Amino acid sequence: MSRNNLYKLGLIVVISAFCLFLSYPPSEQINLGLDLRGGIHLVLDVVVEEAVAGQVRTDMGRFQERLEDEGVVPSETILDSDVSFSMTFNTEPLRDQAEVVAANIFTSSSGNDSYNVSLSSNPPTLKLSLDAAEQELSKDAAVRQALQTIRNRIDQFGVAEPVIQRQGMAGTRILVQLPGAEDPERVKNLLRTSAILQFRLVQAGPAQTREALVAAAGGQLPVGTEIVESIPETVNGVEIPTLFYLLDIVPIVEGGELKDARLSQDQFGLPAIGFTLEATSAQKFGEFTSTNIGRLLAIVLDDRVQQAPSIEARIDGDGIISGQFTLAEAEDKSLMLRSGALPASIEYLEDRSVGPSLGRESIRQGVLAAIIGMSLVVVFMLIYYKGAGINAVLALALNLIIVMGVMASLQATLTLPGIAGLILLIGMSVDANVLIFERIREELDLGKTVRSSIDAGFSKAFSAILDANLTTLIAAAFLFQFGTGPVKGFAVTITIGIVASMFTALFVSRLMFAIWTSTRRETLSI
Amino acid sequence: MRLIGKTNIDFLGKRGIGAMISATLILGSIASFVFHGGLRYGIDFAGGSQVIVLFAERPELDVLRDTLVAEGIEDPTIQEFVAQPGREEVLIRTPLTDEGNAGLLGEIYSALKVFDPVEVSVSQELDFNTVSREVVASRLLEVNPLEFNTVVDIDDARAEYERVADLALSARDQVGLLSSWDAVEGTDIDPRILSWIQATFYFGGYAVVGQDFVGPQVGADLRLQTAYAMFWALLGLLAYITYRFESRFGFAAVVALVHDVFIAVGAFSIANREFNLPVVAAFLTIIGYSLNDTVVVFDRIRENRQTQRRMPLAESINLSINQTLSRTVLTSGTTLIVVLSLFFYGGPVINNFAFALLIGVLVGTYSSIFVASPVYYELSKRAIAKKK
Repeated sequence: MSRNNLYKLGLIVVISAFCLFLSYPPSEQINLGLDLRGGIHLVLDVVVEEAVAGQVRTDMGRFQERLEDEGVVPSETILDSDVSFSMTFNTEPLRDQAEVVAANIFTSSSGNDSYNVSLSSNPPTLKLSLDAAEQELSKDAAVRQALQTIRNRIDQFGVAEPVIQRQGMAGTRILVQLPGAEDPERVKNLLRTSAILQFRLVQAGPAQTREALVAAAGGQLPVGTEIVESIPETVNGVEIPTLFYLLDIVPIVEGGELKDARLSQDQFGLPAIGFTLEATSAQKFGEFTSTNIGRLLAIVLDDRVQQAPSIEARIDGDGIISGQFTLAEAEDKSLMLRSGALPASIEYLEDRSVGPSLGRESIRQGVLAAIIGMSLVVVFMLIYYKGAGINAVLALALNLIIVMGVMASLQATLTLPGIAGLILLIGMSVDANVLIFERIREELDLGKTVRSSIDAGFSKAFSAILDANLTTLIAAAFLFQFGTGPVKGFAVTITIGIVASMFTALFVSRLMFAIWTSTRRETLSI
Repeated sequence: MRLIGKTNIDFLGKRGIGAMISATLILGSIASFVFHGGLRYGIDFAGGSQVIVLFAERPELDVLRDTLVAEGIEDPTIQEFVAQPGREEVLIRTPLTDEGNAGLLGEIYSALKVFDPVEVSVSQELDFNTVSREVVASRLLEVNPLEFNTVVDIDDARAEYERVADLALSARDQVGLLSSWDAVEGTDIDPRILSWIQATFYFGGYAVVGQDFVGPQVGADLRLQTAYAMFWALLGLLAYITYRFESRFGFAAVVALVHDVFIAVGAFSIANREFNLPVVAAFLTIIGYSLNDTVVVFDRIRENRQTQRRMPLAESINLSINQTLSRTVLTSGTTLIVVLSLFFYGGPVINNFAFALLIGVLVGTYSSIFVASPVYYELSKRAIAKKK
């Protein structure tokens, strides 16, 4: 064997050893897709219009407070739409004063007015609508915050290697992939819940019906209050019907002011949520509770009264929320409170979950199909090409080793269509060998010597091999560009496989022939 | 060994027969399209909800259908996915509702409750076959059979119970559904925990092993993306072929490609199989593969035209097809072997994908001989006649 061939052989051995090292054991080194490993794939849409509407409502409240401070009180305030509100005044000068206040407080960070103002007389009305650019900013901020909240929740939930991505730069969609996660309904609830916690003062109630509360208030609810339902409860196996409370709209403290929330126990040893407020809110809360001892304080979670204990003493920063939680619920809820509230509700656009047993079954069947297919091809090649068949089989084996090694080192994901791609590759990668072998046979038939037949076979088959592989690569590239999940996995496997098969056919196979002819020059088993 | 020796078949002379076969296949595809009212889109493109349910025993499909309808699902599709002893899988699919965004997964789940065992003791409140690791772990932490001091050692306790939950449920996931405790007893789970598990759980009659919900927006997006992928891939391939060969070769190759895709899609319609995302991937691969065969023949035609300039065009094309015939049959053969293996053993999840590949390999091989080369011949003949 020539020195040159020895080097080449050495190189091939090193490459295969390295690829084996990278991909062994495959169960640990190869990154499996959700369809094989089991897991949850969700695409969710942040309903950003809600966030905009929420901002407009908050701004309206802020504006009203400010106007009251200045002594400019509108006779009527109406929310016209999700993005605008109108105020009617008794006189035009009052309206103009209000306009000055609006110009003062609604200035965006860039110095422009964040609201467009329009005035009308008869009656004197001031209409404020949120600027289009501001709306976009508000939407973008909502998606960012939702992304952050979801990321926090998943981090806390403890899933390894999650994917949490915004789809598109300005999109409202978020992709969430949780490998190995099992309980799609629980995860969906965990991500969907707004987790808005509020402490609000109870003005009246509880009452059995909504009507009773309205009647007690004299048929008209006081300004700044609303009716909120309680969560359904069971005590000692008896269901207590939903109760109704009349609450202040403006909360004393909100969930955003929480420093921490954790799993805790109430005085009966039942699961509860323990919380700690931020320092400033703790002080506000302390002052409020000390001056309102004896009154009822409603703990409202996602617009439902969780419980409404009476204030026994000053409460500073710490407390617990009890109320019929199971351990899992208490755990999930404290997790949600810790990770922040969602700025708007979310909708699920896509939900795909694969259980572990289905993934396992898919792997089993894929591997079975691969083994059967590969054995048949190997047997066929050995019978059909005899000695040269060994050559092709070696190239095929090496090809698979390289594909696994490259996939492991690139951290590429193997999916079920990816396994199918590997199987297809087994059939396709012998193509290059077949092209070469057939050409060598033709040259031998023309009466050429073994060595020159081999040379001619390789050089004449080369352009066909290159064209054929490049065309498949082009198709695979577009699949990768446009495909999602499993299909992308297929494109990756095919691409790596085609490049590897060119290497093995043109370099490895060639070397095998060279080694063969260096020992037995006169005959060729093909 | 040689299957195909030196052949001298007049392929071009048989192009009339080829054209008739192709025309029949294409007309058949169109007829099937009209008859079926288009393709049967899978959930990826059509949207909707779909679950794969593993049953302990072969379920009465009529009962399942009736309960689904009773839950308000108007037109469920029920299909036996796998029917082997020990593995009975049924696929239930429902179309999108009028409200659009809401899936019907919840309704499907409630309908499935019919298949729960009737007699379950009061203490056995949870279904071992559907419970998740998190729930088992958190219940164990609550009950605390190992009597950890949960104030001091809460983290240790949590870690231990999570480990045990994983151990117990992995034994289940090996099989999918359990109906006795043998597999769980075979693990090294502490007897105190084991007896708690046995007292708390019962064996439900089914487990949902996969669920999909695709909303209308996502379905529409996927359709659009797929159309783009097909379009750009075809354009890219056309560009490549025209760059590598003269334009007549390129045109002939693309005619063959369109022919292949048309018939492959038609085959899906005729077989009334579901057309979904992986199938599109298979089609694109077919496009690449079919071109592969065509390119090999064209490459040879080009070579023969250069080396034997005196040879008439038709003879030269026939010679090239004959010279490459052995290779074409062999590689199609090896690819067919693996694709058949995938089709028969690859499992139900990728059966449609394998079917697309199967059709593609057959049609692609056929078209490189009976479509691409004749089209090139006709084009070139005209060009030569014009020159004269």
